[in-house]
Amino acid sequence: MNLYISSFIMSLLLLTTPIPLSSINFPKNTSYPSYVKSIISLSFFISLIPTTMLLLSNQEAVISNWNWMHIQTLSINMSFKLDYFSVTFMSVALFVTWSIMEFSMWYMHSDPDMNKFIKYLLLFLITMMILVTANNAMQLFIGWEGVGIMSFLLIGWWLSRSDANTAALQAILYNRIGDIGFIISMVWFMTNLSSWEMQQLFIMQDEMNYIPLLGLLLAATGKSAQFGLHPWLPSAMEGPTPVSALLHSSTMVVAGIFLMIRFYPLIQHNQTILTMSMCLGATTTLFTALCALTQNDIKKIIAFSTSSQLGLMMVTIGINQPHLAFLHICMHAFFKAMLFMCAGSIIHNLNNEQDIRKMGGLFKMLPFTSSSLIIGSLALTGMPFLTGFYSKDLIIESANSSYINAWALLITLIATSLTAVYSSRIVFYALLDHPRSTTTLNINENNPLLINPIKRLAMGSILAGFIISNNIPPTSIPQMTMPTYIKLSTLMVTALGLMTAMELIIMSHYLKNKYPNKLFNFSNMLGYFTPTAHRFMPYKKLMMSQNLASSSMDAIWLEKSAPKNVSDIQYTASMFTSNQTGLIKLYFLSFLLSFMVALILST
Amino acid sequence: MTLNVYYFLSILFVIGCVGFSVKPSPIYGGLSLIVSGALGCVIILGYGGSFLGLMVFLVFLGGMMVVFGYTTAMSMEQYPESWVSNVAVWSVMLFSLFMEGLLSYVWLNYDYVEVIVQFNNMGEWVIYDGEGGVGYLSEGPTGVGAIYSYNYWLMFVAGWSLFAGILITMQIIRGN
Amino acid sequence: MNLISNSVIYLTLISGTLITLTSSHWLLMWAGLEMSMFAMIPILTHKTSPRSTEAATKYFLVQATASMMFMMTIIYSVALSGQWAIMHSQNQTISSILMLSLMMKLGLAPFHLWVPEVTQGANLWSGMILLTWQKIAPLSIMYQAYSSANQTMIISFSLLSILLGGWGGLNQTQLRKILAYSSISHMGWMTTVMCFNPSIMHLNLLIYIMLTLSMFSMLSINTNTTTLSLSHLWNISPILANTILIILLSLGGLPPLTGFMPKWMIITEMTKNQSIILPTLMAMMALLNLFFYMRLAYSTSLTLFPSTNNLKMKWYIQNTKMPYLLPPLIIVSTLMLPLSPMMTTLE
Repeated sequence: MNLYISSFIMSLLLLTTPIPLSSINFPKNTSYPSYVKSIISLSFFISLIPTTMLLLSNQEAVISNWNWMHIQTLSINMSFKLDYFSVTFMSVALFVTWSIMEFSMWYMHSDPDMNKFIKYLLLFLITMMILVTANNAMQLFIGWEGVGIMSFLLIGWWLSRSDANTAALQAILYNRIGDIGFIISMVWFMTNLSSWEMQQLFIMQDEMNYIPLLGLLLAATGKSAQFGLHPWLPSAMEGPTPVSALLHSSTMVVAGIFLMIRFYPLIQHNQTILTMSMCLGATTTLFTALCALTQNDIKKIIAFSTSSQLGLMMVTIGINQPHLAFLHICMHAFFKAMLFMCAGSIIHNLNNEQDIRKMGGLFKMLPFTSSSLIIGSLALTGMPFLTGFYSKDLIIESANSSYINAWALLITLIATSLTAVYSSRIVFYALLDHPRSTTTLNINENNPLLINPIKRLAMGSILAGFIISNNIPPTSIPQMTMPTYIKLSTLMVTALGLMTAMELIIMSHYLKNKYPNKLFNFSNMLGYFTPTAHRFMPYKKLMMSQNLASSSMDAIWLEKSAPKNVSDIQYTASMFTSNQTGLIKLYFLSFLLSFMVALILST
Repeated sequence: MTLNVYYFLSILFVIGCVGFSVKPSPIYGGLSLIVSGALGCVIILGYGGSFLGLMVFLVFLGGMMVVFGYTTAMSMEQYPESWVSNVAVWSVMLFSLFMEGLLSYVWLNYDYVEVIVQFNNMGEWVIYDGEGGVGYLSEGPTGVGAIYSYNYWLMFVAGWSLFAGILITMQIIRGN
Repeated sequence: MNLISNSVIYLTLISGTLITLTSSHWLLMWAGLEMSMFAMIPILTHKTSPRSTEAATKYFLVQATASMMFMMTIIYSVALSGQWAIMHSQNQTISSILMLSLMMKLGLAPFHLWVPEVTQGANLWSGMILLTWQKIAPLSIMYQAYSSANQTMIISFSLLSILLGGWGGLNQTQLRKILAYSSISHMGWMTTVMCFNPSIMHLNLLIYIMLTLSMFSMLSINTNTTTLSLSHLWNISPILANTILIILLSLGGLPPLTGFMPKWMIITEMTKNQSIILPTLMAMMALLNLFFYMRLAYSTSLTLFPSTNNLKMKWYIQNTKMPYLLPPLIIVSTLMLPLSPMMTTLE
């Protein structure tokens, strides 16, 4: 029992050690990134102890360390929750981050601020750990905001690029909308339930009304880039690739889903919220999958696939299967981190080329990366007995066999088949066919810092699903018996998507380029969402405000009506009265008229 | 009867002024100016201002000779513009005559036209000096005497003005 | 122009005004006005050119018309009252015609059109005499005859001239015209307060003359006649550029300067007489004047007008004109506000 808690705390505390160390004089002969990497790997191995104990004896715990403050009846504690979610996720996240750290040592080796970058990544991880292990809303909120601010710093890492800054700002602004939802929920909890402790909240779940639940949904929408607040996620690809990998696998974007999972006792009986989250997830997954179809930037395709998977997770929440959603988070972390690393490897080797149209033929030049990329893509599409299969198959099965919205189900199935389409598109364009890149490249993937993390994650992508799904606690059991066609539906839609995609790609490969039609543009321009949300609406709003404030208020009232009006009147009057005064006839005319008028009036 | 003669003369005087002011050719303008000037002197003479009338006529004769000669010299055109050669001049002339006729009609019928002063007290060119026992005196020579005796200051100013006027005129004409 | 004719002309000019000032006889008054009027004509045509001849002709015609009207009122009042002494006529028409003829001589609003034209046609020196010395005689007659006049007419014409002076000046870049319009406005202020307290009119005239004198003297040092030439003044004489700023502000009537005193007193006097709207209107219309003074000051002193490098050396050339009268004039026209308690006792 003691080992469970102490090793858990140990692994958490270990993570924090490099932070103060970075500010003191670090030994010259040790490199800070490798130190951090070792710390994380150490932490991972230590975290295996509680995970093993959890899997073995299924034990959970809550640690209340320290009473922070009392506000009237509300007490805020520092307490950790060591349940299935946090312990499992911690191991997964540490494993993935370990690989990412190692990868970033390779990817960022020429960056002058590499130590700072590594420290940021570590802080990112730490805040995510705080979020995951939090036992009360306050602590969760700290982690939540920490994740947000660290993502801001990391997306804007290349701060001299205006696109990177825009993307970072976009991320923080969209997240801010989500944060408002979370704050609404917290305020509601505080005023109505007078508690932020998870257990107390869950006990009082009958008191819930829609406000906090909608707030939570909004928070998850913002953080997990669900439809409506999604545009920051593809933009966040402006950050360095390790950041994308970390952001999309084990931190940031899954935080929203994790929040829903964490609070699922509150929403599991509320059918409206469940339906809302399912429809939201279905929309997200289809929309982003559609957007992924026509993208040419390799990182953007992967980013949209993340978004699509997040939609799938939201759908899973919506069909009241939080454990499956969590399973998918964990699975997704492996192959998505690996996909990003492969993309990073390709990008780095092709001299910062991200356009898949300018790749091609990489399976000969980057054999290891290519095979890993294929493994990751297959895992993503849900190839049987790879990691993705175990969660995705279960999700689709449960969705198929539950009483849910047929529309949402259909949408989800279409999106699932589209997964195969865009995955095969990356494989086809980047790996197959002839090279379309410049010829003077020095392609080399024989660096252990690159090979090892991808290797580990490839193993994870193959095996983790089996291990984790074998140990999923049977709290909400999906239906175990079903007709064959339902069982096979996932595989069928995926295979269908794959085949269609291959067929279409090969066909289109030998056709001349057609002028893109409206549908293509819709997809390529991300459904016009960004121009609509980022350009049109703010433009209209700003124009309206400008018209109201500056035209009607400033221009009309403060400018046109008073100063400009006065000046115009004076100007016109001045021109009228003092132009053409040279004619003596006018003098005497004015004399005659004024004389007569004055005499008539005065006598 | 005498009143009627002066009345007739004053009508002619006004016609002369109208004829001048509707702007015909300078030669006709000069002509009407001379005519109306002479008429004005006659009217003053008729009201008893014999000295003043004579003086003004003499001065006028001298001045107007120059003016007339000048205008004659200026109007070199073969067909100088008279009162009937232009519709506008002619109609203005007719309108002015009509206005004068209207005024005379009102005056004759109502015997009363007042703008500021009535036109009925124009015959006061004599003063009565009862203290010295002189009796009626003509105002003209009396005024001349007054100017030279106790109003010499005005005389001085007038003389200086004439001198300066001539000098200034010469100055302007001479140029620099 | 030689010395003898010059001395005759200036003697006539000065004595004409003095005769008008000192006489108690309508005829002499008229004669004095006429003398100064036709002595002004050769001064206006000092440098004979078509433009100056035109200006002189216009001046002559307008002033002769006004004198004719003046003479007519004299004859009428003699015919009515039988004497030549300056008595206040009981006849409203005669007083009105008298005032109108004097307003025409001064260049007040409906008859103001000749003022900028004549000033612009003449050179700076003639313009200065026109805008200062020639104002004294008509104003002195007005001072003596104001009480019988129709106040409504005078005040409305004065307001009109303040307004038209402001508007006219807005449209100008020629300095003499600007000063002419400024003169029209100032005359408006003077005739307005004449109905309330004629002593303040005198005070205003005095200060206006001093300000205009210093302004014209400064302009005539380098013969500046346009805003543009004034803009180059900072290359030639930086001190003068700054002084012009102060004089312009004083002319506009800004508080710490002399020009504030008459405006202050006029407004005080009018508010004492329960007239609130009138001084408010006048002060607002004076803003128009202030605006074009400020514009002039802006282009003269507040900005460094771009110029070629050769021009920048011009300050080194010593000016041969030595305006000895200028320093005391500038001091008087800027720093006299503390003397206002003493000046107000003139009332």
